[in-house]
Amino acid sequence: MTAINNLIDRLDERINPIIVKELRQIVRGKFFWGVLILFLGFQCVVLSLSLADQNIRHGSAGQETLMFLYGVLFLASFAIIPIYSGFRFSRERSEGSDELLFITTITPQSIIRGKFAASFMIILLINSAFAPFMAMTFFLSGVDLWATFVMLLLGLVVCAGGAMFQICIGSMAREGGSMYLFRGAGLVFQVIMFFSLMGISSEMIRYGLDRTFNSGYLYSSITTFVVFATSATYLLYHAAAAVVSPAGTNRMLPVRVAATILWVVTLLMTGYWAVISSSSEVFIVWGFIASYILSMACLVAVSERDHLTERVAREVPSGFIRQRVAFVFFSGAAGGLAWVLVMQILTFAIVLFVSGSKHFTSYGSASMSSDFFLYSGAFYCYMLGYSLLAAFIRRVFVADYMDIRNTWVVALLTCAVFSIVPILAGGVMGMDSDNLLIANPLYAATARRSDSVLVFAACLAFVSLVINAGWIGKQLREFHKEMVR
Amino acid sequence: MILSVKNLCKNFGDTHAVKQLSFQLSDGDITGFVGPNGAGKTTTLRMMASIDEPTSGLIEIDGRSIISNPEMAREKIGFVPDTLPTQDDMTVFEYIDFFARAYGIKPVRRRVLVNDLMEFTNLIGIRGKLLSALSKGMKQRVSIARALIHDPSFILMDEPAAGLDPRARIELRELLRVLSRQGKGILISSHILSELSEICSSTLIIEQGAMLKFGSIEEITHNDVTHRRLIIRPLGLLEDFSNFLILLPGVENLVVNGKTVEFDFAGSDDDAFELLKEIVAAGRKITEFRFRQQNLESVFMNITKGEVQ
Repeated sequence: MTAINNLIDRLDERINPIIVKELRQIVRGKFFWGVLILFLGFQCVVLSLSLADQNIRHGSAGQETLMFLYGVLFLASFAIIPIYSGFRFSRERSEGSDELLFITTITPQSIIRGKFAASFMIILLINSAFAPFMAMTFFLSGVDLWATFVMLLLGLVVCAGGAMFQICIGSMAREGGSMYLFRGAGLVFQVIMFFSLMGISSEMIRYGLDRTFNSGYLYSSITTFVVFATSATYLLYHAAAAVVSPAGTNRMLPVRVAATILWVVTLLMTGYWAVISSSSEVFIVWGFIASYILSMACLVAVSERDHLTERVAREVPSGFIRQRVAFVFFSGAAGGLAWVLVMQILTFAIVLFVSGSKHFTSYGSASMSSDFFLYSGAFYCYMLGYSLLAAFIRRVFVADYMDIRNTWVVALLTCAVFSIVPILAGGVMGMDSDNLLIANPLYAATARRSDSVLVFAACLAFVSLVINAGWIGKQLREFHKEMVR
Repeated sequence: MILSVKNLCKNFGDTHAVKQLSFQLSDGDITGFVGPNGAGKTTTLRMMASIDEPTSGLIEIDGRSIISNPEMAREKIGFVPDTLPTQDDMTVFEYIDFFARAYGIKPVRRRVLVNDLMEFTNLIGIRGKLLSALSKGMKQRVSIARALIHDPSFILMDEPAAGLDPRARIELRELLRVLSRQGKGILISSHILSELSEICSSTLIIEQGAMLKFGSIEEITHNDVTHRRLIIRPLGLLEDFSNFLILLPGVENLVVNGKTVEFDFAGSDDDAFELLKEIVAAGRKITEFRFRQQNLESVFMNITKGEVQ
């Protein structure tokens, strides 16, 4: 007994306290039992009706029943449980009870890991409770066991991603208007993803794996999907941990490292698909997505702290190269903008190199790559310009009323004003020209006069950089002082 | 062990919530932290608990900064915030056990510790009750038990007596005395000044983020030389004596009160002695010459203006 007790104690010691707390709270709540009993009852009724049906031997009876059962399971494990986890976390954050955890030895990463693990355990529990019902469909006709098995595993991967996404949303949705904004956006996104993924799942049940994932590339497709989903979940995990970390900490370091890893992983996957398809176009698609996401990261960067805290300063490493790399990766607005710039340059350089490479057939990739440079370049300039302009406006005019972490809101408002005012002014003065839309970054993607769009965006970015030169320079000097010390 | 705060500042935009605050807290001391609403008490306590980072200044335990080493603050400081536990769907035991786990206390020790602590804070009888079913006083005890779980050297308490009934307040006072005897330094912010003066060995008074007074209760109540009131009982005509007195230096706001005269005296003890000498030298007969006894409440009312930033 002592050996068993020792083993239990050792396990107890290693287990994340947040998991224990969350599971205790969830299983005590009426919500969990309500969902479980309601959905189990639903599965029971659906299966009974299917089995009682006189025509169950027709070709797709099993498929239809399985699709229905899986729909219910997926609704519970992709939508309801993750949204519930995010909601609980958001409520804890708004009550401020999570703050007490930061004066214990527990880290923000442990908190997020614990929340995620507890949520995923509940998802597994629901999956295992529903499994016997779904297994029964095998006795009906038309069920591909292998496809069902793969679908369930892929379902678990996306459910994990969904849970982490909602926890990330919960970490941001702390108070006031932003709470409802984030919660609403998170809910809409989860619902859209639910229906999209349900569409793919029903295709897998109906047509099998080969047809769903293009025959010949089954394992590559599945691997790509799983790697991408896992990497995105990893990035969301660090993003959530960064949001809940105390303000003075070096909280952006893990986020930028994770984002860089995601960038590298997607680049490698793109390289793989480019090699097997002998086409460079996939690189251009990757370049578009990477560049647009990196451009949006400018909004995050300017919403970061613009001074070096003691806790960040003590982490500045020694050595010429490491110190420069630290500036780009450590928490700080200027460092964040520098990181985006470095990643954008790398993305553009890779697309430029690959589109000129003789190893890939080009088809229409010449015009695609020129579009990429034009549109992605313009979008980056727009985002950089509006972000820096917002940093300037907040700092000079509304510093007393608005915290730096809300600079992204100012950026979006500035962008909206710049996009709408010229149109209204044009309407008043009776002008009707495409040039009135030039300040709108979304117009840039559809503009015919794309050169003028690029010139306007570059001018906006340049002016914003000039008016913020002192602010950026101050941050550089502050970091340099710490490097010298 | 000494917890020292040096030139602590905290700004929120142009608002200076805490300005150049400096004081020390020793183990075994109970220090009252007094100030009007919005004076910067909670901000100061949050910085000391390493939840918020100061704009400038130092917070040190035995000379080691807890701003750059918040891990040390987590080991040495327990914090009781002004909000009560909100995890309503947890039992008392689960709540304390959770924080014991969060502090990384090993299972065998944790089991003993949680029980001992519940016994110490008189929670053992309600260990299975949900937090939602507890009264404010009970929740406050749970909060204190949580803050004590890692055996900190210093405990920071933000308005722990707010909203408690008289019995719960007396129990809290007794608990603080026991903790002080155990050698724990306690900084307690409160508006109930009469109770503070009963249990505190020293007091810190702040307003608009700046320190107005810091010292032992005795020092603060007796050495407030700028706001002392002198009482003199003369023999003979009161009116004549008052007319004589009003012309002497340092005498202000003189009133006749029964058979005595009372006035504000702005001067040191030496000045008071000189005043007495002058009265006697002038051939005036007096039977009583004393300062009115001050308490923490009167000192607080005298030196604060009740303004917020």
